[in-house]
Amino acid sequence: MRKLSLRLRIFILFFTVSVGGLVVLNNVFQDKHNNIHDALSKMELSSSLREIRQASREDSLKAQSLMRIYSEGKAAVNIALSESRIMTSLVLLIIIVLSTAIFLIVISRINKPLKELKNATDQIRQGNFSVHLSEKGMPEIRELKSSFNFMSCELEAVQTRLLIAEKEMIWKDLSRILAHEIKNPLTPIQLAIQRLDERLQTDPDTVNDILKESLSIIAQEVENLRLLAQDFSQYARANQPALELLDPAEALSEIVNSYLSNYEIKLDLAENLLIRFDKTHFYQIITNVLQNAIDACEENPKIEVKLYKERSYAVLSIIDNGKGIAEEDLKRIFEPYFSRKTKGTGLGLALVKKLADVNHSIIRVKSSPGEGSNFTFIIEEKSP
Amino acid sequence: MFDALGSKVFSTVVALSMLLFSSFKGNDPAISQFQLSKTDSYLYVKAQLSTAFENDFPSIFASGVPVNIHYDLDLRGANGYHGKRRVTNRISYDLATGIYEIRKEGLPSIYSKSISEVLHEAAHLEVAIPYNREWGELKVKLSASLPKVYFKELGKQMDLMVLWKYKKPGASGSIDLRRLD
Repeated sequence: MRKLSLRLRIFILFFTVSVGGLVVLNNVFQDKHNNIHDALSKMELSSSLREIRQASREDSLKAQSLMRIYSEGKAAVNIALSESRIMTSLVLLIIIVLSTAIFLIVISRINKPLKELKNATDQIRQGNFSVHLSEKGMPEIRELKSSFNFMSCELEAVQTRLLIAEKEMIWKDLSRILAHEIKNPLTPIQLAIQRLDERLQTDPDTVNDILKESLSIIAQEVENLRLLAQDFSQYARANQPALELLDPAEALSEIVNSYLSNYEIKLDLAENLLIRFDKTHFYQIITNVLQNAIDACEENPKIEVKLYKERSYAVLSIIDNGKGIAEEDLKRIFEPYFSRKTKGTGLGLALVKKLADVNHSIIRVKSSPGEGSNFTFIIEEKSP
Repeated sequence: MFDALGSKVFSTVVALSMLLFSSFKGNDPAISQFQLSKTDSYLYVKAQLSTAFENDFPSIFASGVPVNIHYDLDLRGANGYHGKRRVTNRISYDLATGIYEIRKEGLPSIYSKSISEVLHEAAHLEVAIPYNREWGELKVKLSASLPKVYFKELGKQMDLMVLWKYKKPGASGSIDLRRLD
């Protein structure tokens, strides 16, 4: 059976207690009225008084006067009793109708702002802190709405402050990383230039001996700077994917082939699977995770790439035998600029997570320090 | 019009409240045997009030205070309104002799010791109204009411409509006055 609403339960309670009490009270009054009426109908004096009218003229007049007073009194009491009974029940009916109407009005005046509050809290829950309620209605409700408005204003202010603080923190981190990453290649470039300059000052004839090496260093470091700029650019651009049907086995084979000459990578790929994914994003994800796997293995890397079907999903795992990730770091590996590696920007896995998200795939990581890591992607399989 | 409507609404609310919350019997007056007939010169209206005086009224009549019962006739023809007529039956009681007098307009008084005869006569209406043939099709509305009575010995005025639960019984009918019988 459907549960009664709070409003209906309060109404039933109100009706049972107040109206029931009034009806019982009315029954008591009506019963007493009936008793008086019955007693009154049995009171008869006129015929007895009439019989003594011949005693004397004076007595007769007295008797007639008494009879008039008594008869009028009896008639008046009869009418008053009837009127009282009618008015009692009429007043009771009016009380019931009015109290029910007032009750329903009050309930609706409480219910409406409560609904407003519920909708407003829903909006707050969804992150809209700018919601503001009009402070109308009963004083208690006005007070409640006022408190709510104050709370939403405070939340909005806190959210703004947090956003500012977060932005500031991001800029600080970014500045620190950028300064560090730019400074790293700049130092060898500066040293190479200084070395060439010194040789030109001291022994210009032998400058060719170090020219090739210095230029190579400069070129390498410039390439590092270009890669750094590319990483940042990719992370910033990873928004709308260009989804297309993709054979993940084919794409994985293609990516892994370029590594096979240097590394031992085992492939176990199920065929005839199709996914809807941005091809560039797929390549970026696999390359990043694979490179991380290689970097995690200091010597003799053994990497396994698996692709298989599970229910209606394509499951892709990249497993390495590297140093693994500490439990406290596992929660942070997808945060931008978080890295335990000595090189890199810390944007690699953040980019992987972002690209996985925009392509509607799920990413899971299992890792034990000293045993290796397993990065698994679950992607919905699509028929052609 | 608003008075009549207000009175009907009030009596309906009273009847509803009595039905729901009271065992009070009172009286439920209704007009029965409403008849319209005519001769060459007069329109005759006959009617009987039923269940109007059985409860409480015997003690009111026996109080010695004269009680009027009003019958109001509303005459409306095809070509216009022809006014109201009020006919009153008056009941009075002589406390010294124990005899009731029933006085009806245009008729000799009736004397009786029997309360049942008094109640029957008080409830009976028979009136002759002169008419013009030009009135044509005449609609007649009849309603009965009770006045407020003044208890001289008590110095108190009371509304007898309480005993009818504020309900004014009514009936209506029509008669073609141009038609020759």
